[in-house]
Amino acid sequence: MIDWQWVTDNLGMIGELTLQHVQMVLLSLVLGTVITALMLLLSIVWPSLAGPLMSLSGVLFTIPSLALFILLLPWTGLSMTTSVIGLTLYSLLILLRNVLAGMQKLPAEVLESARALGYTRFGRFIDIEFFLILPALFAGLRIASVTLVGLVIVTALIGQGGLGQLMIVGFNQNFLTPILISLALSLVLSLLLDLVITRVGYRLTGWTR
Amino acid sequence: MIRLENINKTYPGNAQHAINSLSITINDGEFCTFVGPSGCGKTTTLRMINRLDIPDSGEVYIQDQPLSSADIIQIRRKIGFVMQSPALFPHRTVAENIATVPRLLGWDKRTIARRIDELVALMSLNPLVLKRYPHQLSGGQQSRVSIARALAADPPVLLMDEPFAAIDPVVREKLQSELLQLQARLHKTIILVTHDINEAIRLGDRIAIFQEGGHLAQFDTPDNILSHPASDFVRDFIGPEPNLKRLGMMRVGDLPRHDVPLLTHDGQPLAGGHPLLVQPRVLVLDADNRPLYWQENDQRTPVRLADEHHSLRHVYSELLNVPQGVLLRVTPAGTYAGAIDSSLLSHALNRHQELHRDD
Repeated sequence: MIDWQWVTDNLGMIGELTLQHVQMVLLSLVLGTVITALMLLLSIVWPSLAGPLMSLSGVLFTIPSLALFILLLPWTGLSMTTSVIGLTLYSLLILLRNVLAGMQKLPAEVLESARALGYTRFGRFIDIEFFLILPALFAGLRIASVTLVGLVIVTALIGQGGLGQLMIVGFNQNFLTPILISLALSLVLSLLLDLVITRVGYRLTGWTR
Repeated sequence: MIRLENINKTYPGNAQHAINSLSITINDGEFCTFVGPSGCGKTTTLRMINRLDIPDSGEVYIQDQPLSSADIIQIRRKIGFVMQSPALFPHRTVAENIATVPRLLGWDKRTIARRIDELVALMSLNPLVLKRYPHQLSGGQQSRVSIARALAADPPVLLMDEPFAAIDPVVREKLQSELLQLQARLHKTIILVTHDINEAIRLGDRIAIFQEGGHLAQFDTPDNILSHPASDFVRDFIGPEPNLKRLGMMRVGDLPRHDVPLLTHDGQPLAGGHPLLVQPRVLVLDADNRPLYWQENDQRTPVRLADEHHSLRHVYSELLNVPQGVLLRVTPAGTYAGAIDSSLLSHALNRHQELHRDD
């Protein structure tokens, strides 16, 4: 079923596409996290923003991914930028939803005691809330990473795509091997990312156990 | 001095006042309890003292400084606050929790470490818990940590919002005595909110009784409230059994010492040096003067003990459990310090009332 000769002949290309795939996922995850943090700070400065942000992230997530990439085309063209913007938006939506929901579920009496002891609003975020939403953030990162590994494949349609390129090759030539390789590698990537994120999260939230 | 002047507060959608023209002054070093039925505004009043709640009108003064124009963050750091749930920071170890306010105040690490050691001793915490996280502690330990955290920067004022309400009665009794011992040493200005009149009487130098609608029904010493309730509401609220409540205010340490016949563990008679209680048995002590057992014609019966800080109400209840009706007073080290029977309690109660009549 798998043409191993083709695989060994194209090992260089497969490696390069895998690397590109990982890069796009990680870049979008990092950007998504940073922007989530900024949004979160905004929602702390203006608490009335939290509700609208929450519903906005819910609505945006329902836009089909392909449509989102195509919507971006007039501005950024068939470029890496287009795909990273789209992917970042998706990771942002997932992360922001998780983190905002996490903020709303923080134990009220703990926050109240921080207030009573003389924390400023910002100090309370840095010292208390930030740590208490880490579990929600890492749960979000796990979902986002797996979602992004899949979404990168879609960006093959706008000329990017990492492992998605292999799929296109397979479809165009009616050749199963690159499709299967692409599938298998995406799967491994998802699992690896999930493992790493879980591990890091485990390290950072020792107090929950 | 904490002074509340003409405080009013209503909540939206509720026509009745939460607090209705309340004025009250709490002196420095005074242990004051706020008590009343739920919805009487006692907790809201407490929370106004560090501006967690803000009055609609009126002003709160701390040392004559009006809170509405003060730097409230700095003020809160000088007021210890203990809530009904311990509300410790779950991601911080016990040591880090205790260090919260000193860190906010920018103390250096060595001073903080020394202060934590002091507080661990003060709150009789096991030093081993310092590295644990709050959820690994029992409810009683969490309460102790919560009080230690409130006391960390040695604030002159301590506000406590039903701190023992969620704790089982045995541990509650213990924490109450510890709080009284603590206050005897520290002389803080303490305001404690409770819905339990017995707790209010036991702990408070003065009691503020709140009535529904945020009305202050009476503010006086426990003695005066028990003997001269200001209104029918107060009389109903303190309820029956005023003698039991008076016993609740007195402690074992307030009783004059009485003794029982004593034997050392190797059979030598000892003299306690105080009047003897009327009862037939001999108490045998071990080499360190700790009570071992009662002896009466070769028969041994176990001893029952009372700490110096137990309330007489607790002692009275214990006495009903002891067939021969004698409890032994022991020091914190567990050594013999006298004996109590129910006649001593009646004497103490009568004397207390006579003293009070002379006031």
